[in-house]
This record gives sequence, structure tokens and C-alpha cells, in this order.
Amino acid sequence: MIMQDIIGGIIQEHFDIESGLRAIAVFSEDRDNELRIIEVNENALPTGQVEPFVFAPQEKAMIPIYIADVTPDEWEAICNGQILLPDGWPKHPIRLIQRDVKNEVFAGTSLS
Amino acid sequence: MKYSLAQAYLEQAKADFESYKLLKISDQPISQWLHFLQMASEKAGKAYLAAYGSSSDQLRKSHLAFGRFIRILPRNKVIQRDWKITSEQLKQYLNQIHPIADRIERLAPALSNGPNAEYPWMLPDGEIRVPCTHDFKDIVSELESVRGRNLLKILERAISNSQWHKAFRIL
Repeated sequence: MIMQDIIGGIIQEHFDIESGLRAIAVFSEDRDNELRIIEVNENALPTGQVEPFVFAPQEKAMIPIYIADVTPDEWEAICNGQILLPDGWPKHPIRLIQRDVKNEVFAGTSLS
Repeated sequence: MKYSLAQAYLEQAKADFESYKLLKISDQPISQWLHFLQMASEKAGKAYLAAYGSSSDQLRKSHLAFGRFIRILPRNKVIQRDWKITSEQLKQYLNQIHPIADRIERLAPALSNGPNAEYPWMLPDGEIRVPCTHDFKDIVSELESVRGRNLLKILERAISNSQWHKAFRIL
């Protein structure tokens, strides 16, 4: 399975599981052999921080996933530079995948 | 024994959870065992954040780590397999325990202007309340419900289950 399919599968699955998920911001390239994502989730606990958890590589998803949930308001604050991303993460996502419009938006990144 | 930061947090969470259990069956005030339960959940959550590589300083400033952890669990395949249920079932199960998990975490004085398990607090009319004489009635009855018992199962698993640790790269 190629990396693009693996990542696409993970993202689709997360949209399926999380009804409150409005968008997934992807901060890694397909060639990176890892997935760094921020999930903009209406059901996230607001904390004013972006702290990722790590999913270790496993059978189907053979890459580590670095994943943090934020609320839509926190996402706006991230876009405005009021909430900082973890050290080493790009300043802007490489892709922003929204649930409703079913397409990708490039960095710039407001959900409205 | 040498620990990674994540393992160190888990080890301390384990000790806090054991203290909670001992105090719960003792004659000590409710605040005392709630305090240890709050600390166990806080440190368990932070252990899973530490696996990413967060520093001690960052982790000290983190809050609601356990609540965030249980919200992310249904998206982890290994956890789904361990429970032998679908992600949807796991999510429904966990949705029921979010409120009580959040209430336990908010017993930390830094997250509460009112009742907490550690320091006295003042009511709007100026009356001062003391944790060790407070009955924490709502939280205690929640903890005795099915939801509360399920929360304790999840916490115990988060602290002790090596499959869960591997799934979140706690090495």
C-alpha cells in the first residue's frame, strides 16, 4: 500500500469515528514516513495548548501518527499565531482537509 | 532502574492509584482519596503526552491530559483490538465517562475556583470551606455508578496495560 493510501485511510477513518471533527490539518509530507496532524474537533477539551499524542506504527498504519485535538476556536488562535505549535512543526499545515466540503484547502487555514 | 519520562510518570501514577485505593478503604476524609485519584489521572494522562517527547517543564504546565487521552482512544486501532469492540462502541463507552473524568481532573486546585481536593476555598458569601470536611457528594455518587467504575477500569488500564503503553509508544 502506498503512503498516500495509508494516510487517506487514516484520515477517512478519523472523520468516520469523530462526529465532531470539522477538519484535519496535515503537517507532514507523504514522503516523511510519519503523519503529523491536528484535528479540529468540536468535542475537544479546550486547553489553549497543542500537545500531541503518539500512535505507534501498527499493522495497517505502518507509520507513527502524531495527533492533537483542538477546538475550532483554538484552531483560529493557532492560525492567528496566538497558540503555538509544537517545536519542529511547520508553521502552517501542508493540507487542511475539511469534512463538509470534502476537499482540501491549502495553508491560510481559517475554517469559516 | 532507569526510566523514560513517560515511564516515570506512569510509575508515579501507579503509586498514586495504590494510595487512592488504600485511603478509600481507610477512615481518612474523602478529600484525601480524591486527591490521589486526581493525581493518578493527571500523571497517567501526562505519561501519554510525554511519549511524544514533551519536556518536564511543558508537562508541568499541561492540564486535562487524561481527558484528552480518553477522547483520543477510539482512534487508536490497538486499543480497539484490546477491548474487542468497534471504534463506535468504544466511543460510546468513553463518552459516558468524559463528565466524571473531567470532574476528577478539575479537583486540582489550579483548575478549580471552588471545591478541590487540596486547598480551602471561599464561597461567594465569604464562608471558607475545607476539603477534608467537604462531602464531595456528587462526585462520590458518580464514582459509585457504572460510569465511575468504568472510569476506574480505564485509568487502571492506562497505568498498567503494557499493550496500551506500546500502542502510544511509551518505551
